[in-house]
Amino acid sequence: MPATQAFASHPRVDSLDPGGFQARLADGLGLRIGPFDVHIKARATALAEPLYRLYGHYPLLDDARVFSCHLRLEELRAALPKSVRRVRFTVDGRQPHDDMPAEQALAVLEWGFNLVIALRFHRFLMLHSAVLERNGGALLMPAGPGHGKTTLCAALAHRGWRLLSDEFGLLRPGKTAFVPIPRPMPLKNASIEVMRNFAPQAELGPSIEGTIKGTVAHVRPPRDSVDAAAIEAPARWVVFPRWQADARLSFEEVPRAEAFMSLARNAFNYEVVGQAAFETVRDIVDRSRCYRLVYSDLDEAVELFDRLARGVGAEVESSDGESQALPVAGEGR
Amino acid sequence: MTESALPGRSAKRTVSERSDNVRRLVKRALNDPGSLRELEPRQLDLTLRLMRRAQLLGRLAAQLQRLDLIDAFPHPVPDILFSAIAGAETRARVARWELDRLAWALQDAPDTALVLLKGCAYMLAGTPNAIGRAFGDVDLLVDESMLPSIESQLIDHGWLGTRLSAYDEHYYRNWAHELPPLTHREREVEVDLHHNILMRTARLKPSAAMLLDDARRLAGSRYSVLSPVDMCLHAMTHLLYSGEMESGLRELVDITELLRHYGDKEPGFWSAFWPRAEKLDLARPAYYGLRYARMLLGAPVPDPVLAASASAAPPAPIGPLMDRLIPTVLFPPHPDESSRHIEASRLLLLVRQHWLRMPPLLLARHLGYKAWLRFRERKPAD
Amino acid sequence: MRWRSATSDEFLWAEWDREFVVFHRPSGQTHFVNAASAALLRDILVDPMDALDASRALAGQTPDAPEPDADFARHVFGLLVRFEELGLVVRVSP
Repeated sequence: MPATQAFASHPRVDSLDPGGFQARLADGLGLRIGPFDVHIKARATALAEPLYRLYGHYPLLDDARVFSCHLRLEELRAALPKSVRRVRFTVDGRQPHDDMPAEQALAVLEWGFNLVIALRFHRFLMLHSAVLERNGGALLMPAGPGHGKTTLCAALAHRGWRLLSDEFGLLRPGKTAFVPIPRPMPLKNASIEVMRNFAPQAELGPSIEGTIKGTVAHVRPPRDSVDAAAIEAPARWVVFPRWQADARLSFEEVPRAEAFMSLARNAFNYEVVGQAAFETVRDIVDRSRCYRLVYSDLDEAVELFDRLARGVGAEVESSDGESQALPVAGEGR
Repeated sequence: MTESALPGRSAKRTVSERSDNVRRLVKRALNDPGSLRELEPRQLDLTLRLMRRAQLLGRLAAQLQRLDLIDAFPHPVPDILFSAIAGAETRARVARWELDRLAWALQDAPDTALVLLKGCAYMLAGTPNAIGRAFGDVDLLVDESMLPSIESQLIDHGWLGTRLSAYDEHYYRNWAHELPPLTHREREVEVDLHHNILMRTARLKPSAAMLLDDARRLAGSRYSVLSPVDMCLHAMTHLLYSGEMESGLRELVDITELLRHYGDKEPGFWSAFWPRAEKLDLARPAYYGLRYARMLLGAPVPDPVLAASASAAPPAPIGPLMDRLIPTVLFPPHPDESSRHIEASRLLLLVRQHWLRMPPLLLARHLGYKAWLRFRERKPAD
Repeated sequence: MRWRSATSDEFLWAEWDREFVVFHRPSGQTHFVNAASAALLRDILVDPMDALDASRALAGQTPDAPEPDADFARHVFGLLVRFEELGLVVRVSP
């Protein structure tokens, strides 16, 4: 049995003071992030403080262990004026992409970690999906970039849902229970303000401008999500979300074979996992209700999910103006 | 305390201690994977990172799986190992399927020999080094006269040539021993059709006809593999003259395992080895292959064979230089180490390889172009 | 030209409401197929047949298949050629 139950036995990041954290980070420190024990070594101005804030609740590890990966962020040419400073991201001494502007260090580290997971950890079937839990059942929201799943996920995580992940639906092949990997959630551009309005109590990292996706700010995962990172959740609902400006809320069941294909296409490594991926996705589709959601108003969408969780019929006006109560409760066929 | 804080002499000693430790750990992982359980965690961590860098993690994981030892390791080692196994198994499946489709596409073509080279050969012949191996492309050796019809048959069945610059197209067709790679429009596997194992312009001239003559058809298969001695000679030649030093250690492991396997199983293997190397004009790479497989990885090369190979030893200054360069370049660098020293060695080796492959006049221009291409596209970490 | 499906243990099937997904183990590919294709692969082509016979068998089996005219037979022929390329069916010499 993996050591994920050992979360409670390690000190947290915020047991250090900020200066101590910065010093440890410069030498290299370990963080337990879901099933991954990550070694991070970073000397980059203005990285330590937001990292300390965003990962404050996470278990801090000593380095007498094997790590899932070793990430390094070095600032280059620190003597020059701020505008030409760049950071270099390396994994085990290798550089996967070009050097990036120093102000983007936090985003570079977060996206770099995503890259390492997606390229390496094929012992998991990795769906490109947000995952949240309520009442013991997991809500899976598979979507590519630009569909609004991170915003929706961040909102739900602050309204009674436990965050498992905003990006990676991690499954052990043959099981339909999701492995949590709570992480800071990157909001982009207009979503940042939307989230601040929706949940003023949410803790956000700095707004990082000029990235390839525009302006990015990370939402800290709620404490209970991090504390419960060892607790897996079985699939119960699959909802394919899409945000569309000015759209009327629309919530429809999706035929299961179609849901299967959409899930398989929205996986990072479906082909690599092969037969076990087929069987796992089939089992998820079998046991879950599958829907497609189109929304423009975040509050409306969150309220819909609330009704979904409570097993109340979700009344949604369909395109012909008729109100329908869609079956939302219970298991699959 | 970082290296830069130490005085010069101690820094050098630290670097050499580090590389000794690297070699020790890698050899231990190769020769006695089960003993890794006894390693102190930081050293185990380093070992796994080194094996990953050396493209040998899949092999290590497969060996530990066979020994039923994966779950004996602490978290997150099982996840790391199972992930490597999943990657290796998929690559093997992808290679097998590509071979299946190639045989399908060529089923109406004349029954000319399709000789598998490298990874696919090991996989279909079932040699011990095939387990957990990293595969890349499919490499086939065919009779030069059959190349045009095979190429056109594959194109008819959905394979496409990669789009190349005029320079690269010219390089492949006129200087190299292979066609530009073909890839099926729906898959991503590169199929390389060779008509010899060294470039046309290389100073060594192995006879493709001799290789094809001794090739063996695999039972129940459309494919053949080189004879055991030729398979080893090819691996040695490829290691030293292909320019792909990143996979160098893995290839030396291949060589060592093949020598051990065939030395044991193939009657007359060792007595045939050196005469064949000379006949194929591959004596120099064979000399190096035997030497370093035995010196670095303990390959069981009989003394008489080693003695015979001494006749192909390089002239005086080169030998000791290669003895220093080869291990430095083959073993993976320590992941935290600045690799300037290593890069210099690699560069020297690369120059030598290209010198063997191209007339000196073309070398500088070609190196300049290739260096520029490499700078332009960088490969992601795996 | 005649074809038969790949052996049944090469396939893993899942079906919901007459829509099928099938995993082909040797290639590692997953295909989304309709009822007619599923019928061809699972039942009809267990024994080798040509496109015309296959189209007749289909028409007899599936309620939503069109009349087995020349166009339909041509359509089935095209399907079989494609399946052969994917390795889902194998050509059998007469």
